[in-house]
Amino acid sequence: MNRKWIRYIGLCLCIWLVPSLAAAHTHLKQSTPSDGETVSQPVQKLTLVFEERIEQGGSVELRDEAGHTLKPSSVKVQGDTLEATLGPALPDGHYTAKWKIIGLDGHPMQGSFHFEVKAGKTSAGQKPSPVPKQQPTPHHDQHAAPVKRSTSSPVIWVVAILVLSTAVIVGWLFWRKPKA
Amino acid sequence: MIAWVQTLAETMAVTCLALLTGGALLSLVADDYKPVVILPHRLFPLVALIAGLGSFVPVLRLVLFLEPDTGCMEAVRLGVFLSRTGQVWLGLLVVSVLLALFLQVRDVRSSKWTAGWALFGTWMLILIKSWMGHVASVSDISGWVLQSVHLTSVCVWAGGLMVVGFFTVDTARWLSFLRWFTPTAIGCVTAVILAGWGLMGTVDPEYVASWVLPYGEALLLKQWMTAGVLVTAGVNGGWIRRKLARGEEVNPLPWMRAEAVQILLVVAITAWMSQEAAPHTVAETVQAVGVSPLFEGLFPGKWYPGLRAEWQGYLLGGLLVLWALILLAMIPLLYRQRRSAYGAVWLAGLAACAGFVGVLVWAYGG
Repeated sequence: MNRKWIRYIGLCLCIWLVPSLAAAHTHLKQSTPSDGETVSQPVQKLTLVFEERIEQGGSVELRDEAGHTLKPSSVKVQGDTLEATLGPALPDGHYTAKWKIIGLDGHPMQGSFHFEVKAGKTSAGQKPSPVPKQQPTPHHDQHAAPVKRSTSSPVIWVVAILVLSTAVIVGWLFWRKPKA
Repeated sequence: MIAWVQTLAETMAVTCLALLTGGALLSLVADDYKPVVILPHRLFPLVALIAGLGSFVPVLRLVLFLEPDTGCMEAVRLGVFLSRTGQVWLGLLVVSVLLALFLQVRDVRSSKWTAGWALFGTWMLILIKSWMGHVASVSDISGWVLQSVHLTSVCVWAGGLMVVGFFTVDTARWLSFLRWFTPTAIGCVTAVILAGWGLMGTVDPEYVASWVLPYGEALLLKQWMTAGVLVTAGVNGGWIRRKLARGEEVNPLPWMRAEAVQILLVVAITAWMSQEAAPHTVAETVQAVGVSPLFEGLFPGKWYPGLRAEWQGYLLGGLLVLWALILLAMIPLLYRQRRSAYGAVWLAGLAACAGFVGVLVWAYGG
């Protein structure tokens, strides 16, 4: 009896040995400043609008070119909108905003977008860079076009494994003497 | 790591819900219409607790996600007490603790009233658990109703099978049990499939395109696995029944158990799906989480934005699907030759893998 139970449980465990991925559900719909935008007004506020309503506890932080992190002075979540107040207006430069939220379906999400500020305000001790900066490309998770490999298709291997396991299992099941 | 924990905990929660449902249901049925089932009294309070506790992982995920930014206490406050998921889980926990206490004090077999209340409490748990799910959050009421029907039917069907399969000590009156259980099971299967179809329309409208995502793939595998369950169910409700009606000697329990284990595997696949991104729009979801490693593994470099299924790989794909069907047809053969019922689980699993790869190759491998 005990061995039976162990075999049943072992079977059930087989299926749990699957690799996993991060889940993602509620995506960013739009933001102010938007991704890749160059803003000529002083920026004191970030507004992020998501596809669905989001839970309390979302956060956003900014990173400038030098890698300094700026945390907003206050964050307000209302419905599908996250509003972050920055306090003083941002000095000119390139920024990356990293956001983390929880969708209403309970799935955590994170992402980022870039923008540039050109409002003629420089921070103390920072010279405006004379070299025109490259426009940051809008940042999406772009999958680079993969190189076609000329290996034999993995499908063949999968089929081979299937043939083998079929042979083993069917053989094992039908070869033995049936119970009278 | 946490995905495994969630899959395991979620599977246990649903299994416990099914056990509770099956136990309460069979306690309600008069003795003349069921085999001799001995339910361990100690089991049920524990099972009721696990049914509530098992769903904690989604909440834990939120707390772990918030913790680096907000600190531990604040993360718990936001994740457990202020988020929708956390609040629903708290409700589930309260009901499951109450049910566990009730079952600890009163044995579920003691009276029809106790069994009735236990069944009602279990159904409450099922309804709350359905409310916790993804579907209910995107399309409030209709999604919740569909999810509830789906889960209730699974619990009645799998619960009846498990309780009878694992706790029967004497198979007397088996036929009079099947007389009501077979139609019930058929009704449940129909409800499961119809509700599942409705859920697909909400969560996975681009069904074929979603096979490039883990969620869609799991769904396809789950459907193949369900096909195997139906074949085993046919053996149970058809052949074994006829044989017994003719007065022949046959032990129905191993086949019952085989069917129960197959359903549990389907439940496990579903549990795994619950923590994957639901592909409302496939293109966007792929952009967010990428193509599934499995798809990339089978067809390296195949995916590009705008890829459509062409159904060109019909030769190899068709062969694999045919092979899967042959494997499924071997399940009745196992029974006919009086071989191990347990082999049905292996055959069904293998058929699901072959059919799954076959359909993918058929659609995308051309």
